[in-house]
Amino acid sequence: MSPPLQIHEPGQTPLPHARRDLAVGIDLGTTNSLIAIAEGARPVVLRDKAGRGLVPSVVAYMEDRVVVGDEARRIMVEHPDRVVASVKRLMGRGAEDVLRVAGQLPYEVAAAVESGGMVRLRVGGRTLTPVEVSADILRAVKARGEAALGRKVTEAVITVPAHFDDAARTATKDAAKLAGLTALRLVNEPTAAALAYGLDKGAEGLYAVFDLGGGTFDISVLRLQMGVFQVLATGGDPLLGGDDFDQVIAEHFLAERARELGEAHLTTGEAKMALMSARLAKEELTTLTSGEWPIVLGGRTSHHRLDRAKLNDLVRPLVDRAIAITQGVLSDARMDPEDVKGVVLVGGSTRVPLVRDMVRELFGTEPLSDIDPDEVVALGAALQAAALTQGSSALLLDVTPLSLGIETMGGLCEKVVPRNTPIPTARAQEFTTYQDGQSAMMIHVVQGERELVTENRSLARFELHGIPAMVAGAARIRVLFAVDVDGLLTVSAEETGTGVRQEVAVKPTYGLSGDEMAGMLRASMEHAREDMEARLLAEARVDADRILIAVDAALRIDAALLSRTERTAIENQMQALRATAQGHDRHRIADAVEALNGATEEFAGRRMDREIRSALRGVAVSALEDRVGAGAAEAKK
Amino acid sequence: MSVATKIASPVMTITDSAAQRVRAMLDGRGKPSTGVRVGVRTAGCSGLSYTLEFADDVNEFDEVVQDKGVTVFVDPKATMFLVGTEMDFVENDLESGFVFHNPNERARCGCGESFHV
Amino acid sequence: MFAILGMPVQFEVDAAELERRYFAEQRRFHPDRFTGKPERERQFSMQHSTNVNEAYRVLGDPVRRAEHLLLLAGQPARTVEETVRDPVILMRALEMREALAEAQSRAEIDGVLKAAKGEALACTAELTKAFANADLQCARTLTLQLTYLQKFIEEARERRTRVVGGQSAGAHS
Repeated sequence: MSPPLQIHEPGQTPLPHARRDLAVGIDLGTTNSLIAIAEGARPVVLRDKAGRGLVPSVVAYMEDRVVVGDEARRIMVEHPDRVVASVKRLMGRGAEDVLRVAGQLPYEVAAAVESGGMVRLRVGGRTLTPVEVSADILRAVKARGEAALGRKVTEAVITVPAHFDDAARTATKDAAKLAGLTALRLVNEPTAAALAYGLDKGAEGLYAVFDLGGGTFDISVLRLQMGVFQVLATGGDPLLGGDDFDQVIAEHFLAERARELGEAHLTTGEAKMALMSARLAKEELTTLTSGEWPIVLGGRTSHHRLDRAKLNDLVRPLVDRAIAITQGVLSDARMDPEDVKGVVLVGGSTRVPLVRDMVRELFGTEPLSDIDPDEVVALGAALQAAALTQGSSALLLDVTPLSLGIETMGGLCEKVVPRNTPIPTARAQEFTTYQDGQSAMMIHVVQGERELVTENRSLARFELHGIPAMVAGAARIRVLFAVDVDGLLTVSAEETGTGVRQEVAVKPTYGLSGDEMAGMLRASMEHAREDMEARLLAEARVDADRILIAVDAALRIDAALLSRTERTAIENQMQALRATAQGHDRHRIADAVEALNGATEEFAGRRMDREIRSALRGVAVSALEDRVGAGAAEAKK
Repeated sequence: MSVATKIASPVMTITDSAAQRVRAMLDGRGKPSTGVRVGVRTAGCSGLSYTLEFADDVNEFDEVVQDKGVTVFVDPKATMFLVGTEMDFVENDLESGFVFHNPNERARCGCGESFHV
Repeated sequence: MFAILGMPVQFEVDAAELERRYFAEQRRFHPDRFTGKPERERQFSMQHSTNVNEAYRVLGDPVRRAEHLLLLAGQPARTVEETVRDPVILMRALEMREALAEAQSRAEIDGVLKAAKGEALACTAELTKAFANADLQCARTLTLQLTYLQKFIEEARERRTRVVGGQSAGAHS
């Protein structure tokens, strides 16, 4: 049967086959990337002629070409300065963030970063952003898909770690665009993994997805029922993964080597060599119980024995961290490990025996691992891609991975959208001014769970101008957070107290200065602000007129109270105010009003005295005393 | 006494659910419409495909089908392909929309979006 | 909120029915069902899906549901200041907090947690009655009580996590 038709506006019926080709799923990983498609009942990973599915997420920048994947990894040995690996860790990160992790990176991070700019990597004589490097990886993955399918690949579902913040998600979408791909949807990696398992097996109940990849750790709790995947809670650590395992093993090896050979400083390239030995040891110890691995540096070879027990000791603190985070997430979802029906293992690092043991111990159940943990995410993404392009009976209901809020007085973070809120969502909260007459407010959007803004991630800043002058706490600023199905956030702020609608949507961006956003804001508020200014100017002029008339009248009646110079001084101030009131600067008008007030203070005082004297003239002293006494008594009451 | 009325078999028929849906869509369109217009056009890998649009006016040569309270204009170029077609509305878990049961169809392309007569 | 999911406007909620309607609405209107559809339909889907999420959040939680009902009845829920003035609620909250502070082992915390859960259940039952009898004043007090109980249960749960994961970094890392 033909696909059902909708009724369209005249001339708008879309062409048949305008419907898209089946989109692919891409797992853009820290260590490896994969592309998969779900054409038939089962999704498959697209492979090269040699049958390889994994594309190492490694890019080598040579003089005349860019090399991605296995070859780039080989180049890393000889030209470590030309190669970028684990770039995913830098996605959406600002310069400050990177300083924190720079020490752990095997390549140089550009020291000078433009104000508030994106991180830049110096590699192979080029200066690149993480987005560009990721785009190069995506191009290679796309090319592999196109070779396997024999057609163009233009649309993809791309997976991201559940804890990826807004900036990192935006960066991922940008990388896709740069690589000529439309990212139909960003799907959380653990969710994709559950999709791969759930659809195949028609599972129902609560499931945990324990995803320990090369660079990141994610734990998610999902509920599967009626073909709907509901993410109940997610958590993780963006800087915990197999790379860290390699790191601790390499450190152990290098400490041994230093004792043996007395070597101290290593170049970046040498450190990479040591990491490769460490990694080999880790991988081989998943099947072997012990072994020996060499490190060859500067022509000198050292040999390092390692057994499973020692490996466990080395990596245990890292696995402990992952387990503690898992417990926290379960608690978030208001459940206990026993409630979880099954645990899905994702990521190459879950092959490490200690990881499996500790997961089994925590949940009291044998974890699911029958789908290759390296491929399961891409396969799930492919299923989601098929669901989005062709329709599917399964549906994915996702949540926000981190809380979103704004900065309030005292550097505190007020959460507007708590973590684990189902998306899409829109939440509004009202804020107010802190000072009397405050006409602008800084809206600082942050993401994270901490109370203090400085400990959370800053997503965007913009100013709301044109708040009418009111006493502190009277203005009503409505801040609206909207999170779409990709987990991307739009924030708008509006002053509701006056009924004047001023609204602007700001998409938080990474790297870019706030100028662009500020520009958008200014543009949309220009008119409202002009109106407000006009009103305030008119009010200032009215004030000026009022005082000029009053002083003028006083001078005509009581000029005798002033000396010539005093009178001239007042007249000069009046002249100045008249001139200023012709202009358009309400602040200067207010200042001139103030100045005239000051200049006539003494004059007003004398007039007051004279009034009192004339009122008292002819009153007997005793009566006066009575009056004063009565006044004093009145005042005492 | 009026003269005899010729019984003309309509070009196409409309099922109850399709008629109901068309009425709802016309109500929800937010501007006055004369009905809906069905046409065919040559496109796709296998020949012809249907078009289904709101109608703002009446074309002189349109075949007018009035059935179950809705007016369907059939593009004159399409009449010969559509004779005997039943327009239905389907709704299931995955999708909803109008389908045409056309006895003239002989072949469809793989994706079902176009057909041959 | 009730209308969005077609649920009757009352405190008592058939949880299974709520779930069924929530999933049914999302299956029909989630933006994933509208990729490649006209912009207007996609916007509608985004809006509706957002509303459905919000309705599910409110109706699925007894405190939020009660607060919403009170709001509909023009009797907004009580504020923190009012609570502090209610000696009964305050007293009970303090007692429970002390019990939690004294509990050391997981078993002890579990005991506290179980008691609190029982109280929450009883409170919810009372609340159902109060709303059924349109006793809004009573409902307001009970809503507040339930708010406290829920917060307390969350804290107790979190504390238990820390006890179990004792050797690790703790819940706030």
